[in-house]
Amino acid sequence: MKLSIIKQIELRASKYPDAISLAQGIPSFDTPEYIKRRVENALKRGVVAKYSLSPGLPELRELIELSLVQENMFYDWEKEIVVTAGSIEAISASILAITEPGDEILIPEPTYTSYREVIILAGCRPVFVPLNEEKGWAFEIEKYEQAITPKTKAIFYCNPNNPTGTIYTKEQLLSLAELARRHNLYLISDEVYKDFIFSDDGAGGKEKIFSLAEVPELRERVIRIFSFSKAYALTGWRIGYVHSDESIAREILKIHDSLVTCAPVISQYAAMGALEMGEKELAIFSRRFQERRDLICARLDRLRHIFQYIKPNSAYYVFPKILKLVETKSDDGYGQSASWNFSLELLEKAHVAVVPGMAFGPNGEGHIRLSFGRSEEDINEAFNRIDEKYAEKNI
Amino acid sequence: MKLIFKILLRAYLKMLAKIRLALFRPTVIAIAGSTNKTITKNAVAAALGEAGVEVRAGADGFNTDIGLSLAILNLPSGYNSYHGWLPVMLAAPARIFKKDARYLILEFGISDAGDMAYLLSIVRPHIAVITDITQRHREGFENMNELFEEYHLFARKTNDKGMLVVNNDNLRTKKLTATASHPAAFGFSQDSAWQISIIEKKLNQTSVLVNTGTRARQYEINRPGEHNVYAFVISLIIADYVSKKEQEKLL
Repeated sequence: MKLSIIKQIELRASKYPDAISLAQGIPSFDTPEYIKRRVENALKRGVVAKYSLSPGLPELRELIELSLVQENMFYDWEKEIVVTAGSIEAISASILAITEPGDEILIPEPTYTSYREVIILAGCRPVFVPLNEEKGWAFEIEKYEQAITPKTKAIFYCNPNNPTGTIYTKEQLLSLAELARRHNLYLISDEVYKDFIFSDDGAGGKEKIFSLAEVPELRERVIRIFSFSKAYALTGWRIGYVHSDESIAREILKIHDSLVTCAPVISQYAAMGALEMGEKELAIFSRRFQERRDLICARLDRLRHIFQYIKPNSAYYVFPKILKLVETKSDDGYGQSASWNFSLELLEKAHVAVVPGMAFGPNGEGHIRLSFGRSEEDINEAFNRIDEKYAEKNI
Repeated sequence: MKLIFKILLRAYLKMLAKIRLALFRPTVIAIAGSTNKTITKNAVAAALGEAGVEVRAGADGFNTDIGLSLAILNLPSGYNSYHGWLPVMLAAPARIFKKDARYLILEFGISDAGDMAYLLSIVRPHIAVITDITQRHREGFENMNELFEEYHLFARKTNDKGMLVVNNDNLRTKKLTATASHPAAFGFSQDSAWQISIIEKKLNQTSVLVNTGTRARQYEINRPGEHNVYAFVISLIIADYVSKKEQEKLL
């Protein structure tokens, strides 16, 4: 196993005091005040020092059930919802619960870099299935069909997708579900960016993505994961949840219990604050991210000789293709990767940290991921530096 | 400063809520219990709505000293900001006179000793529901008996001509049945007035048989989990009661 490339880039960037990072997926916002007050109250009442029940505080799980009902998903908070230490723990517990060492898991790629590591950690083999960039990073079902072997256990996707910001259509997802049904596979759906849906009329946050967890006939197959990190600016609190049919949730709970006992109780109170009072702030975050998406796309438009991109409809990333590849080779094991070399050059010469596309799977090579979770000021300053380095007259 | 503001805000909203209740005299359905209040409230609102009853439910989780008054006035919360509370406070007086539904469903939430008495000083229910009593919020009480006394008070203060709906599967709530002049005990226990048996669970559907002694009927509930079965049966009990009361009025 290797340290995630995103973290490697962040470590390198930390050596440049003036570096601007568009690498890590951290929202620029601080945890909202109403959440802090909710947590303060819990601290004052002395209710955060002890373990909670392993699946989480009942009141939080009840709130989660209610929030799922609003999204047309019906799950029993007592038996089908497990509160976890962020989505990555939910992913780890889910994979460990449903697989045996040697199993294979299909991952559409490019996709979130840590999926690969978690799958390997579970003794399984990640099998990358490329998304089609020309079709707006869409699924191609026949490629999944070809990738399935007797060892395939699950298809694991991120919707909306990180790093491409793609929202998979209902038709694409139902085709995937049909494939999973035919081959008796689980479907793991990581939906941490589901609250950031952008539209060109500026009405960000009003639309809703389709989830396979809405389909009752699929509930014994679908494992859905959500994190409070992105939607409510709670990345440091490590809080999320997973839900599935009782038969699967019961197995996930066993792993969750042995991994962390329970999610941090103080963070569970933060999550309760988010669900009780977060609607307004969430809409504000979503609008701000849409404004930042428009800003970063406008800045990319000025660098058409360097980048070509598909406008993201969700998340807070854009994933441009690099048109001007860097020749030099670094000596750290990734030297053959154009996106790695380009990212290092950007860091060294412009002091701007980005994530090389190869981190997200073979199909991500030749791209970089830029986060617009950062402030407008950071985005503008980063692009001023990139402009200076890559202005047409300079290359 | 914050404490003084809270005391003033609480008193102000309580006064306005009481005036509104006095003016419109809605039939108040109050739902208390350690868990399942909001889910039950929503189930009851849906059942009464489907039966053509003019009903309004308070916002989810508006069940505390301030939240209950807001639910009665049908106002949003200002949460933790003075700035947020200003428009709420300005809008509140006009809400007194705004016509409301004939049936009002409210949640009663307690976390400290004395909370129930305060909520009951705002409004006394005609129909009271106690979903269950568990250790949740136990930290605000000396012991479980003190917590139980809150619900005992809630049961005692329910309108004598009204109805107390209690969970017969919970040992503590079961004891409260004796408190009420018109109790309706529901549960899987054999001695429940509204006795539930689960016939089948399939995907997120639950088939249940509800037996009242005089009538046994099967229902399909489009929600998974026992708590949703409870919420559904509570909604049946209340819809049945309200329907009878409405018919009595017509006669």
